[in-house]
Amino acid sequence: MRFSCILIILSVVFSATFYNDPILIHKNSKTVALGNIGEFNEDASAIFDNPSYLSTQENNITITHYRFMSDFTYSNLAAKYGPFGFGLVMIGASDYNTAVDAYGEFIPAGSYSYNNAVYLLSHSSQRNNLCFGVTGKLYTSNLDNISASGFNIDASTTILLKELTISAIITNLFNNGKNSIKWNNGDNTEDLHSTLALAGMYNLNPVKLYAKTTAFLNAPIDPLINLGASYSIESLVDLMLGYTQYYSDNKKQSAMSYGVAINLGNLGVTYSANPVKTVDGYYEGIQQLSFRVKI
Amino acid sequence: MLRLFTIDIRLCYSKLMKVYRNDYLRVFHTVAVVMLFTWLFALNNSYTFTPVANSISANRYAISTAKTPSIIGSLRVTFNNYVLTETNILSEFAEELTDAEVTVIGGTYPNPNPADPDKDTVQIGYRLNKDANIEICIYNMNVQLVKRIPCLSSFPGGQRGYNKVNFNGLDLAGNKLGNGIYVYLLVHNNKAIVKGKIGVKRR
Repeated sequence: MRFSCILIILSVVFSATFYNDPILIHKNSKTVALGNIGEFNEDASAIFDNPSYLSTQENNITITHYRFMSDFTYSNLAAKYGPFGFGLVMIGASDYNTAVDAYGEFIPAGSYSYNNAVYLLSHSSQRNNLCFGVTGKLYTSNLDNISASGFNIDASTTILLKELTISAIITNLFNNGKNSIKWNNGDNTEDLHSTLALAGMYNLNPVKLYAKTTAFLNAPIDPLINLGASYSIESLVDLMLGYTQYYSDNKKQSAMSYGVAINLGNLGVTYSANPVKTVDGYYEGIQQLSFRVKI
Repeated sequence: MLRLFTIDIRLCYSKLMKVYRNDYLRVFHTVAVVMLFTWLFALNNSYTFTPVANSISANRYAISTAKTPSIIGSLRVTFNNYVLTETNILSEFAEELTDAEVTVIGGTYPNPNPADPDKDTVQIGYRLNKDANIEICIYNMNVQLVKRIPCLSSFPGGQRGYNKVNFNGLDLAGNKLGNGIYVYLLVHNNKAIVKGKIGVKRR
């Protein structure tokens, strides 16, 4: 009895409506290939996971675009210029409005669309072997005839040691992510996941090992672990492998991912595949390409 | 003039025949003929649903009457130039194929869509060709399974004919799903048989 009371109280306390945050989605091919570890990406896509790491990079632009679940179109663009970083994430889908026909069956009647966009602006700096970064994020959403907007902040720090790089990242620290997104129809608000992540990269040239653990600060979710490894062939080709833990079906699950990156001087292209287990024959793999240009 | 034209045709024909002696072209020709016959055979043994704006019963689909007789599964049907509605033909014939695999006839749609599950009665509708255990698996745009709705065979959601299954807008942990579009799969024996989308728009 006491246990069930505690469960009920816990479920009331933690009952929340979370926003469908496009930043949580497969951000970049390299991130996906390394088991969802994007904290040490050597291009501007690091803005999505670890703004402080931008200070270690040259100016560059990276772009990712793909479709998944045959319905969603995802794109992101990230750029690093001087101490500033800029990011844009967009996701969209459309669906049918429906009506009831003379037989009581549901039929399509018109259509509506759903679009999410996040604009990121960051500033990063480096002093000796310490890097700092902060990112402001502006969210906008449109769903049928309603819209939403919201704002939050990520902050991170990175320590550059000889072979080891360690980062600590806190996301959506403003108001702990609560009520961050406000829809324009009444008092309808949604939360963003606030997380604390610790990530490390160990460089054993030509092999790099990656690890990350993420704790959820505003949801009763156990921490997740991500692991990755890359092997560089003459700095021209990177072979990558990743292990990701994620929540699905209300339990912790895991998946392996892999990818290959080709670096041609100022140009780079990365391919990755992330097999996502659903049921037979559906969404068993998300494949994507990312492009990078140094400027 | 006519003579010149005749010569031209003869010349073309002889050139063509020379080319035809090429083995590759002969193989290509044979394949094309086989494909043509296969296609004709398939046409004669298939049925197609074509959208009709205003059919006799003002339904959404009608069966093409281009080829008669047609065959649906093992049943021979003579259309006699008569437009049959999707509902008619499927309830009369397709649903009687008891050995057929479980299929959803005519797609799946929720209603209303998008909807506020707190205020609307949201239902997912689909027509099954036979009784079957069905599970509706709902995924968010991060491909995470957020909801399962099991439907037992011969009970609502798993019955032959048109089914309407309620959707309460809560995830597996009891949290309200955020606004957005979700993808759902109708799953039978761990195999997705049809996919649909549902919009959540809280007011």
